[in-house]
Formats: sequence, C-alpha cells, structure tokens
Amino acid sequence: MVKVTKLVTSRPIVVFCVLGFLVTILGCISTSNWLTTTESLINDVASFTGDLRSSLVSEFENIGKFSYPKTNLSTIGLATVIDSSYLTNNDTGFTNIQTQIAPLLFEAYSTIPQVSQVSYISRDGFLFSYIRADIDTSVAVYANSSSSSSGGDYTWYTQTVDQITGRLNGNATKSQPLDVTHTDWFQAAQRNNYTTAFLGTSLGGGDNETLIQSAVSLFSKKGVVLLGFSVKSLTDVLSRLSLHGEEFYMWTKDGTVLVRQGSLNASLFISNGSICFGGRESKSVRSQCIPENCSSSGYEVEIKRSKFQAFCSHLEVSGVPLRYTVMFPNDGGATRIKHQAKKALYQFFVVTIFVAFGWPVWFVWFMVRATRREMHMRATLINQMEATQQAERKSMNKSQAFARASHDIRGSLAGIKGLIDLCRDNVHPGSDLDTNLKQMNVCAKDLLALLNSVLDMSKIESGKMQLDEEEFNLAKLVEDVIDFYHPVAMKKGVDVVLDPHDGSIFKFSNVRGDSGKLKQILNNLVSNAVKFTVDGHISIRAWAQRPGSKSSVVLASDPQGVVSKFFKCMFCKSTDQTEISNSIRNNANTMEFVFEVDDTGKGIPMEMRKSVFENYVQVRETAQGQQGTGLGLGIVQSLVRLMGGEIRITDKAMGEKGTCFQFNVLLTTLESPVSDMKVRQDIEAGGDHISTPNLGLTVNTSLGGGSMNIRNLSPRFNNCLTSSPKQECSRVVLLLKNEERRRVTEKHIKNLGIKVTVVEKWEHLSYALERIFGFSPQSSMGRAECSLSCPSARELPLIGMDGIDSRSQLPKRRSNSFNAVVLLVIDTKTGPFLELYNVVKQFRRGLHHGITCKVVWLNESSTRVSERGDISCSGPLHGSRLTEVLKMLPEFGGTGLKETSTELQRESLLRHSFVADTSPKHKLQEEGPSSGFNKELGKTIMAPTASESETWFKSVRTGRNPIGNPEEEQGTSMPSNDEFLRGKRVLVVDDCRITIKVATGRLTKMGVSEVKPCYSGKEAVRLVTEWLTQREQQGSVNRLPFDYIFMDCQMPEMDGYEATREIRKVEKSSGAHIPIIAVSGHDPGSREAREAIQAGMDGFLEKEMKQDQLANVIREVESKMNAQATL
Amino acid sequence: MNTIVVAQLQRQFQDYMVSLYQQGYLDNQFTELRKLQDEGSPDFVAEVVSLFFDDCAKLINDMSISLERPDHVDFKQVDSGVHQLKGSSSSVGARRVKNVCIAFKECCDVQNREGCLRCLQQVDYEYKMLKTKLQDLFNLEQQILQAGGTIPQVDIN
Repeated sequence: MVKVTKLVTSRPIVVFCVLGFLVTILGCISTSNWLTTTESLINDVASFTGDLRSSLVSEFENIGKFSYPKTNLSTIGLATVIDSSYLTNNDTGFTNIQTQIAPLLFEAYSTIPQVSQVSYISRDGFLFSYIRADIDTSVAVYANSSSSSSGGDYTWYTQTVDQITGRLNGNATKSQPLDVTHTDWFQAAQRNNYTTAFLGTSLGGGDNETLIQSAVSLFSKKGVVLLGFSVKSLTDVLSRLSLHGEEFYMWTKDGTVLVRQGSLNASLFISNGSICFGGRESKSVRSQCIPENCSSSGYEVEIKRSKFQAFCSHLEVSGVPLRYTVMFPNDGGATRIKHQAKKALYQFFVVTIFVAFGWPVWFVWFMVRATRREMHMRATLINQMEATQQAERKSMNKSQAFARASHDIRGSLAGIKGLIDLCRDNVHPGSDLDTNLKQMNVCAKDLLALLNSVLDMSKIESGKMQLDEEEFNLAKLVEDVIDFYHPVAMKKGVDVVLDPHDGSIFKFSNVRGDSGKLKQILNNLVSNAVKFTVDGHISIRAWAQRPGSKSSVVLASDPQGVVSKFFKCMFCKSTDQTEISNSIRNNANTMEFVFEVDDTGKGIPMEMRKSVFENYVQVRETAQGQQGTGLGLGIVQSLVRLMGGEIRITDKAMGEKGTCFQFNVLLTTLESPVSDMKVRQDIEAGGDHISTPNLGLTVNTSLGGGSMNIRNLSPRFNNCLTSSPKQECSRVVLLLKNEERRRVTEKHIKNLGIKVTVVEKWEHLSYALERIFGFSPQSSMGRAECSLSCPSARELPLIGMDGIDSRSQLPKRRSNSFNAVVLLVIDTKTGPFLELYNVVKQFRRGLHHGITCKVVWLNESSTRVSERGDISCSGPLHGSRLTEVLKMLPEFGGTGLKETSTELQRESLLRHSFVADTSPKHKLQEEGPSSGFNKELGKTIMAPTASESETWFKSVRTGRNPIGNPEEEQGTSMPSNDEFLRGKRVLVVDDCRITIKVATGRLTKMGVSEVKPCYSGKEAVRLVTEWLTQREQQGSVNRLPFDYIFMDCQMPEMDGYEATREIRKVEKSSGAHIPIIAVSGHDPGSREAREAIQAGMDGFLEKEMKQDQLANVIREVESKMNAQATL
Repeated sequence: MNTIVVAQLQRQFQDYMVSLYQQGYLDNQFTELRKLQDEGSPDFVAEVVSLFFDDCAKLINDMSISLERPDHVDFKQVDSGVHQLKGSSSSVGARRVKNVCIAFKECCDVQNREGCLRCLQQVDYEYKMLKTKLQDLFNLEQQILQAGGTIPQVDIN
C-alpha cells in the first residue's frame, strides 16, 4: 500500500495517463461489442419491419381483390335475371318495371352483402332503385316518367321501403332528378362490353355518399343495372388494419382521395394520378410528389421535416382502379433503434470518458492526499520524538547538575560541621552555647544524611550508580546490620531476630557483589522497621536459592504474565534489561538471595503499597512524627534493581500486624572459599551429620533439604564424630524473652539435630529442668521422652517431637563415650538474675555426675557471670554468636569439663564478650599446651586457627560497631594475629629507618621474638652468609637464621632483587631456603611484583604492611614451602 | 573536676584527630601505627614520627642541594631521595606528603627541574605543617596522660 502510494505520489501524471489509457481501452472494447450487438439488432428489426410492411401491403391487396370481386359478378347476374324477365315481358313501362323488375331488385338488395344501392335504369329514364339510407332504413328512389317523354316533368320520388317485403310504404317525396341516361357511365355501359365500374355518389337517400358502383347494361340494351357499394365500408375495413404510425392514402385516378389515414396533417393534392404533398400554389413549400413506380422499393419523401419511406401500388376494387400509398416514417423500427443505439453509444462514450479521466484523477488525488497526510504525521512524530529526547536530555542534565550541586553542598556542610566542632572546643561544656552547638551538629548531620539520600537518588537517576563488586561474607553482613539496630530496637522493647530459614545463607555466604549497597538496602529496610515498630519483633529472613527456580519475587514483579512474555518475545529490543538479568541468572555461580524484613509495626495500607517505592512518597498516616524525605524506599528499589532483583511488599496472613518487605538480589558465589569462615558455617549448617573424616566430601542431610559441601573440617571435629559412633545426646535449654527469637533459635538448633527445650517463663525453668533431668540423666532416651511427654504442652510444646527427631537423626550418637552436655541459654531479662542463678545452681547440684552443665547468660555483665564460672553473651543470640555458643556442645567439637581442647580453650580466652571459665584449672591448662600445640600440629594448622579466631573477633567487634568499612574492621582484628608469629625471628631489610621501625613494631605485635633491622641489601647478604657459614661450622642444621626476611625492593647500592639473588646463591651450597618477602610501594600484580618473584622472593607485600595482608602472605609462603617439603 | 578536664581533653583530642584525617594530613596507616603502640613501647608513634621528620629534613636538604644548580642536576639522586621520602611517608601515614611525593616523582621522571623545585617546596611545607600538627597532637596526649586520663581510641570513619 505504501509502495503504491509512493509511486502515485512521485509520478502522478504518469500514473494518471496509464490509468486513463487502461480505462479507454476497456471502454473501446465494450463500445465495439456494443456496436456489433446493436448492428445485429438493427438488422433483425429491419427484416422484421420489412416483413411487416410486405404483409401490410398484401393485406391491402387481399382486401381489394377478395372483398369486392363479386360485386361485378352480382351485377352481371342481376342483369341477366332482369334481362330474362324483361325478355319474357315486352312491356317496358314503369308499371312493368315496378311489378316485374322491382322485386328482383329488392331480392338482390337484400341478398348481396354489403350492397348499399341496387338500381335499374331504363333507357327511357325510368328508374327504380333501392338505397340503404341507414342501417335499418332503406329507401326507394324511382322515376315513373321517362326523361325524354314530356319535357320538363321528369321527377324522381323517394319513398321508404319496408325492409322485409320491399313494398313501398310511406309518403313519396320528390327529389332532385339526375339525368342518368346521359351520364358517362350509362353511355359507357350501353356502348362497350355492357359493363362498367365507376365511383360516384348514390342516387338518392339521405346523404349522397360515395359508392363504388358497377353498371351492367342489359343485353337488350333497354336499361342498366347499377349496384353500388359503399366506399365507407371499404375504408372502414382498411382503417381497421393496425397501422403503427404509418401513413396510408388511397385515391382514384381522377384525384378523389378516398382514404386518408395517419397523423400527418399535411395538405396534399393529386396531380397526374400521383399524390403530392405541400401547397399546390405556394412556392414557399416545395411540393413533393410520389412517383407511380414506387411499389418495389420505398421512396424517400420528406414531409414537414419528417422523413418517410413511401410505397405505392395499384388496387382494383370492383373494377374501379384505385391507387394507394403507404408511408412509413423513417424514425420508426430499425431506424429508430439505430438512432437510439447511437444516442446510447454517445452516452456510453461520455460516461466512459468521464470515468476514464475522472477515476484516475480521483485515485491520484486520493493517494496524494493520503501521502501528504502521512508525511505530515511523520513530521509530527519526528518533532515529538525530538521534543521527548530533548526533555530527557534536559532531565538528565538536571539530574547531573543536581548531583554536582549536592556534592558541593555536602562539601559546605562538612565545613559547617567542622566549624561547629571547632566552636565547641572553645566553649565551656554544658553551657547553653554548647548545647546549641550540639544541636546544630545534629541538625547538620541530619542534613547531611538527607543530602546523601538525595545524592544517591540523583546518582541513580543520572545513571552513574554502578555496582562495586568485591568479595564479602553475606552472613556476616546480615548479622552486622541486625546487630547494629539491635540495641536501638531493644531500647523500644523490640527484638531484632535473624532467621536463617533453611541455613542456605551460610552455605553460600562467600559471595561477590556490592556489599556496600546491599548493606544500604538492608539498613534502610531494618531501620524503617525499627522506626515503625512499637512492640513485637522484627525478623530478618535470608535464604539462597537457584536463580529463576521459583523466585516468587520475580514472578510478582511480572504481573502481566503470559501477555507480557509474549510482548517481550515480540519486541526483543526492549528487553535488554531482562536479557541481562537472564544472562546473570544463567551463570552457574550466580545464586539468588532472598531477604525478608518482617516487622510487627503499623503496616502499610494496601493502596499505598505500590507508591511507597516511588520517590518522595511517604505513607502519611504512619509518617507522622517521623522525619525523612521519602526517598529511602525509592533508592532501595533502584539499588535492588541494579543488583538484578526486585522488591515488593508481601502479603501477611490475616490478623498479622506489620509489613513484610521481600527482595531478592543476584550475587556470584565463590567456588572455592578461601576464608575459613566457611568452615564455621559448614559446621554450623550441616556439620552435625558428618561421619567421615575426609575433607571436601559432600554429605546429604535430611534437614535443609540439600547437600552441603563440607571443607576443611577441623580435625578435632571429625575426630569427635567418627571416633564415637555411640554417644549421649546433648540438650539445649532455651529461656528467651522474645517469642520470635525463641521460635527461630529453636528451629535453627533443631535443624542442626540438637534437642531443644524451650521455656517461656523463668518461673517454669526449674520445673522444666526437673522434668527433663529429674530422672537419671543417663537413662535411655525412651525414658526421658516418656517423662517429657507428661508436662503441660504449652510450656514444653516441642519436647516430644525433639525426642523423635533426635532419635531418628542421631541414632549412632547415643553412647557413653563422652558425656552429654546440657547447655542452658538464659536471657536474664526474663527474670531476676539471682533467682535464675539459684535455679541453675540447684539444677547443677542435682545433676548426675558425668553430665556437664554449661550456662550462657544473655544480657548480663560479664563480670557478674564470670564470677560464677559461666559464660556471658552480649548482643543478640544469632548467627555467629549462636554458632559459638553451640560450639560448646560436644557434637560440634566443644569440650566437656574433663576434656580440654587446647585449641578451643585458647580461642575462648580470646573472646572478649564471652568470658570463658576462669577457673584456675583452666588457666593452668591454657598456657602450656598453646605452644606445645603449635609444635605438635604444625604450622599448617596454625593459619586457619588464627584466621578463625580472627573472623570471630571481627564478628564480635562488629557486633558492637557493625557499620564500618571493611578495611577498618580488618584493622581491628589485630589482637587475633598476636600469636601468629610467636617466637619467630625476622630480618627486615630497608634503607628507610622509619619503615623498619614500623615493621618492627608490627611484627613484635604479632609475636615475633626478634626483629633484626638491616639498612642495606649488602648488609643483609652479609648477615645471611655469615650465619650460614656459622651453621655449617656448628653443624646445627635445623634452625634457620631467620624465619622470614622482609626485603625492600628499592635500595641504594644493592637493591632488593639483587640482594635476594645473592642470598639464594649463598643458600644453594647449604641447601637452606629462607623465605624472603618483598616489600615495595608498588601494587601487588605490578611489574615490580613479578620481578620480585623472578628474583627468587617468595611473597610480595605492600609497603604499608597491613596486618591481614602480612598474615596472608606468610600463610601463602608457608603453604608453598610445605608443598615443596612434601615433594 | 579532674575527670571533666580529662573528658574535655579527650574530646578535643578526638576531634583534632578527626580533623587531621579529614584534612588529609593522615591516613589509615597512622591508625595502624597507633595501634602498634602499647605498654611495651609507649612512645612508639612519637619515635617513628620524629624519625620520619628527621629523614624528611635530611632528604629535603639533600634534594635541594641537588636541584640547586640549574645546568646539571643529578635527577637520579633526587629520584632516589623522593622514593625514600615516599616510602617513609606512606609508612607513617603522612598522606599529604605522600601525595606530593607522587607528583614530585613524576616531575623527576620527566626531568622537569622547575616542577621538581616547586614540589620540593611543597614537600617542605607539608612536612613542616604536619610536624606542627603532630606536635600539637602529642602535646595533647601528654596533657591527657598528665591529667590521669587514657588516650582515647579514635574511629576514623
């Protein structure tokens, strides 16, 4: 269609011509067809008309020939009869006539058809004749005296006749006599052939009508018999013939027009036996005469401007010769059809021409108009698009300008804050000015926070927000966020609970992604939850799942379902976003992490749910008294989408208060987790079910639903599980204040396969303890179970089930090989501490020996607890803290009182918030084994141990101060590395005294016993050679001079590379290998770093010598050397 | 009374530290350095810092001598000096000095004497500035200790 339009528009005239040509050709074809059809039709009609004419002519002939031939015969017959009677009677007087001839006449009069006059005229002039005067009256005209007798008294009488008898009746009236005997016809009849015919008026009667008369002379020539027939009857017959517009004229030789029929009203006269039309004298109208010989073919004659075709012929009626002519009008019959056909043809031509020109013109015009309209629309569209683009550009520019501006504002604000701080320094604390300044500071901080959110928004809007990918521990991050908000929430009496759901979050806790933004999202949601929740709890659920499996969130974000999918298929270009996210989904390492922040606050009304994610929208009813820009959730949504996920508010069950935000993000999990945190989580998540000591094995668990990959299990743990196939189960008793926390913690511990007893109120504690352990604690599970099924279900609702669970899952672990542990976790907020303590004390006293009872006090100062030899835990009991508590159970490698694991004891000493048993017994055990342990287990064990405690410390520290950059956190993890290099001797080579000083400080802090500074490469080489020769002399092979050498790369005289090469040369002879670690200002991975390795150095460290980097490098070096050693 | 004084001093100290970080005089390395200081080495930071300043003075002096003569400058020597200065400044956490050193080194690499001189002046200025700042800081520390307080931990965030 468009092509046609284009064609038409581009060459309208050509198209017009082509179309016109086509239509003309069509018209011509149909015209010729039309013409032939008409031609044949005309021919048909012509032949038909010809037939009609000839039949008409023959009809005339017939009438002439057959109607009146007998008149002659009748006359002759009558004459013969009269002759005979006249012969017999010689009397020729009138009386004779009246008596003898009259009856004969009357007989003939009545019998001969159509006769209207029968007469007998004697030579003397006697006359007797019957004349039909009217249809039913006849008269007799007679002359009873001879015309030649007495001059002057020759009279005719007319008398009516009785129709039936023929007798005269009535009165005779005189009528004008006619000298009959001297007429032409009388003479002619007398003279030749005795018979003649003529046209003449009747002898008498009313009106002297013209008759065709035939006269026959008697043989005796005494008289003439005359029969007359009415011309009128002839003309009537002729008139009765149907004439279709033809003109019909009949006339006698002498010029009397007998019949004149037709519509033509022209004057005519007969001249010379032929008929002429037009005025006889007038010159104006030329007279037209039809010649005599026009019988065969028609003669064209024009009368009064109408053309006629005349046919003429002779006709003899009763011996009277008549001429007639029939004129057919030229505009009738075939001619008329011809004319009409011609007219129709013209009409047809006109129409064809009109169509041939009109239609293409219309078509072209229409097309041109359509195209013009389309062009117009396109132009409009282009304009619109340009306008849109411009608007978008403007908006983008605005956003960017806004971002820049807010950046500047932030700078100014920072200045203001700094100035406020400066002012405060000069102000006496506590004064009004000080408080004002403080408030100003708070205001400035708020302003800054506000600005930051606006800045984030504009960043996102201007598309500058990008993901900052790094490796991080997801579980820790979530825990950090919760720990940060926990104190704030607890102040309001709201508990913040981490619900690990199925524990999958721990399995895939090492991920790669933007931790900062994820934290921002969680912070925002949790802070919102804390802000709007007055009582109850806030639980944060997190779990991992395969992307796209049954991601409810993603599904929910796609409400159009099939239709939208269809459209997405249709318009592939518009689905870049989805494709990207799909590609992310298809990545094998990508996991989908779903988070739920569930509070019991006011909730968000249904109709507001969609708009809360829009910028600058706040739920008015709930926002009262709460500040904020309403940007938070908008930013959160943008961030979530940036991370390939979707956020929504899920519906809570009827009757449940609050809001539940659910969002998912896509993060890459790390295939080979380096961090030892993994071990911890693995132990926590599924370690319970391990039964083989092999590393890296996959164990199927009935809980959690999936397989868990266990790596690097601590030997102690494996040992514990494998060596004791039959052991008694431990039990955890929870006394927690918050219901949700009770539920979550119980579920979590149960998932690990540990029996849990939950006590709701502190008053029930002693009762519950009695119930559980009232009988011999070593009694079989069945008995315990039996006893447990008795107490009221409300207080101990899940105990019975616990028994079944643990029996089915841990059938092998029931034995006496080591003693079960009862772990009491008591929240001191549930009741008075002293009372609780008494209960515990009583319980302890009553315990069968062989069962260990450990108590963890929550929310209690460590001093008070540690005095009593228990452990205190501050901060919410979940995540790593819960893991740590559970690690005290023998199932997880924890120690009973009899067994002392040096490793764990040492670790417990390092705890800050946990205060391990400080009984002298433990202390004594602590010191010795720690060094012995190192020697026994070797350095390989050292590293993970250190890092394990390091991560532990991180979590503990961040429990107090969770929000901080990772760098800082790593910095705070120093104490854990204290013992890392215990007893090592280190050579530090650097030309810069300061660096040496710093390095010395750091290394000493890490437990290095001797740091030997060395200010040049040469000196270092000298020292090493010296020492090596010494060693050879002494023969002490075992000890290296230094455990590590830290070598600066760039030094005057001899740089690090050269020095290293020298040292390696020297070493070769003795076969020793001192690890040399390059220290340089360059990045690891730079050219210098490679050069360092090529030179023979073992590791590379940045100049700052950060603690964790140092530890990592040393670990690497160690593992390398161990590998070489084993080879 | 004493506690109030201590508290005020402590806060002043904290704020001062923060300002030093914010103004970019110091970076995290300094924090690290401070963490290394304990009972075993109470004056560790001061020692290191004074060493650093001595070095600075010496190196800057050397470099200025090297750069003195316009026609023939021993850029190699200057370069090694700058490198040393950069190393030591990053060890101490003197951020500004380090930054200037980076620029300085670039100038050295292209043997731009004018630029080198400018950088030298800047380094000189920066280290002296830092010196006075740190002097103040140490004085504050001394005051706190004399008043019987402890040096507060400063979180730089």
